Amino acid sequence: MRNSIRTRLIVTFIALAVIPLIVVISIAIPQTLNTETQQALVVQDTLASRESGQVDAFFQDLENQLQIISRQGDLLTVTPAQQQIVLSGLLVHQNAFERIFLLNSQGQEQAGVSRSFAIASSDLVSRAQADEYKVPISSNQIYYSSVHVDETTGESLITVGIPIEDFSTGKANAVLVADLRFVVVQDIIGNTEPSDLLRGNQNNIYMLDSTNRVVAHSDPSVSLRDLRFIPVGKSGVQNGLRGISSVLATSEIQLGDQTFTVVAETPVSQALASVYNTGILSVVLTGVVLAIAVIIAVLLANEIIKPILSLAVTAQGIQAGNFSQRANANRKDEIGQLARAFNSMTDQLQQSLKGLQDHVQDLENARVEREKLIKDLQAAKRLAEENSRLKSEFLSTMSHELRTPLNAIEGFTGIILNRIGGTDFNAKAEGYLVRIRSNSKRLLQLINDFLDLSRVEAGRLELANQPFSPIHLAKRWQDEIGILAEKKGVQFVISLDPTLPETVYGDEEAISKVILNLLGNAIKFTEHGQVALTVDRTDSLWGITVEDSGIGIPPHAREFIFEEFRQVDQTSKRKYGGTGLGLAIVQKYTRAMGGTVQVKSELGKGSTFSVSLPLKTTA
Amino acid sequence: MIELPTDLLKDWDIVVIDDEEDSLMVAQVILDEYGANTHVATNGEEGLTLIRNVRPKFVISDLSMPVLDGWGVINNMLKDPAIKDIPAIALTAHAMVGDRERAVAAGFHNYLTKPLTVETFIQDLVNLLIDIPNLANELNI
Repeated sequence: MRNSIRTRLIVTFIALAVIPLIVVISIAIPQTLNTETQQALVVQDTLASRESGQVDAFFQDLENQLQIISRQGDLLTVTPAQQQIVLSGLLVHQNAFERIFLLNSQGQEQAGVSRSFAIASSDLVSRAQADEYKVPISSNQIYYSSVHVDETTGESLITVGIPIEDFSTGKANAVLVADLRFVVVQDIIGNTEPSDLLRGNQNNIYMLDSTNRVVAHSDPSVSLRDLRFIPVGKSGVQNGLRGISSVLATSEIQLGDQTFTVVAETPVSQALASVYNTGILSVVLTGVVLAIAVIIAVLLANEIIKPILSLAVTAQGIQAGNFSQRANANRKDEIGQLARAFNSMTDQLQQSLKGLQDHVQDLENARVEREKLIKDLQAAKRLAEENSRLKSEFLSTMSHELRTPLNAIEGFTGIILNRIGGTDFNAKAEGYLVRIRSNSKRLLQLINDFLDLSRVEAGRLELANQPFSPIHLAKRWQDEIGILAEKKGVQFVISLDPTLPETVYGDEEAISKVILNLLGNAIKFTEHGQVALTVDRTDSLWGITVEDSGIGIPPHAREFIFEEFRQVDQTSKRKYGGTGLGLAIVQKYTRAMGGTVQVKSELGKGSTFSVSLPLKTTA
Repeated sequence: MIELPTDLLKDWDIVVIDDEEDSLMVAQVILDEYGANTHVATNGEEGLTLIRNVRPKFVISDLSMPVLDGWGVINNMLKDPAIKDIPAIALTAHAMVGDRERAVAAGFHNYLTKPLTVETFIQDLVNLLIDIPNLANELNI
């Protein structure tokens, strides 16, 4: 994971550990480098100055020795042999001299000595044209030649011309010429104390002539042939003689016209070795710190990350449904705190889940219970339906079985009474037969009424929804009841609302059963006066009112006259007969059709039954 | 009660089918009183055999019967060209609302409601027979 906390922690920690180090080093090293460079320059400068001073002093000493001889007043006047002895003494005394010649005022060699070979008088030549003669004679100044190689010895030489003054004139009238072995200078430079060279043999000191040729070198093994060097400025860090970066200082020596430069140089690597060592040490230190930082960072990161990862693993476990898992909460630090908070959250989650599961279980139980209840109810419903069916069947069977024998009784008494088939009987038997017939008719009526009521009670009353004309229906009632009224001498009047619809929907037979019952009662309980049938309508209802001028109903009886087998009293029952089911049928049928029936009555003056039914003009 | 001539149905062959023998007997006695030759059967199968043999002027059949009920009788009659034109009258129980309409729809000429009473039976029957032109002419009124 590139951006994981672990990575970021490690990187941050390492950066914190290493960056200050790097900053310190990157500030300190250049400073040290600068200081060290300055110090090295001072050292080289000191060296160069000291060496040049030594060389200069050496040449001063040589000049002095030569001048001492030249100032001997009798040198020019003594014999050449004596002159030669003087010169030889100088040669012996100072090994820097290779040859010494005394020139007269004309430039002719008067006497000469050589370290390598004997010089005869015949060897003496004129040097009138040579610089070593011309310069001292003309200027009265010491002359130095450039460094040149002696043809015979192959040695580097520098020729010096010392003017010899005539005390009377104060002018040069002779010249002392000496060839100096330059190797001596080499020795001076080469003899530099090792302690002065600081830090080993890497320090080089060498001398350049005015043409920048290296004429001497502290290291004798260095070949000087054609070796040249041009230092840039007096001192600084630059490429040295051997082309490597060096700390370099120069010091000049003036010998006559010749300018020599002593150069002291040491390789930068040498001069600044301590700085480099410090640098290397710094890098090593940085590396070590880095390594330690990495190790500590990794350990620390692991220390921090591991419990977090463990927490994540626990969380994933919980996510996978293992709610019993808990994070390790033993730590005292923030991660421990987190783990404890996590665990407490998990506890709550588990509890909530448990609650939820319990709730689900409760719901499931409730559902099972409800389904059981539904099944029970369905079973009960089936049972009820079965019972209802059985009841209906029972009603049907009852209807058939009860009526069949009564029909036979009715049929046969009718046959006998009508003397059909030649049957005969006396007057007494006729009376009994009439009673038999009357009772069987009552029984049949009772059975029919009872079955009608039972049908409603059992919910088996199937009401038709057929169109019919209410006016025709009322006429039918008039025909049927008119005969009874006429027999009894009661007036029967009918009144029809002209706004009655042509056709209404409903069960014609059921309505007839209700109204014929009411009309039958009205006729039965009315001895005088009239029975009135009124059919009218309002917006949504139609009403059928049966009004009579009969005996009326006592107030206490109005409450129960619609109940089964209830008549006003036993006397009435005996007097008027009837099953006691008529008004119950009226009420139950009316209600089954969605209507109402009301009664108003005044004892001795008559009763009014008002049936109100929903007016349906469409199916 | 309107007096009807006793030779009203003189020599008419009539088949009455009913599983109730008492009921059958009442019908037979009344019909015979008016001069008819009444043939009776107690189930539909017997009734159909009788109808095919006798070729009656008309048939009176109860609807609810064992073996073959009144619906079976009318269906079989209508399927048999020899007897399909014989008028049949259904006997329906008082309480069976709907049977009357169904009876006419099934092919019965009309229906009579049980119980059969002496006073109303013949009168009702004549009212139905008057509707049937062939029979109306033959009635001895």
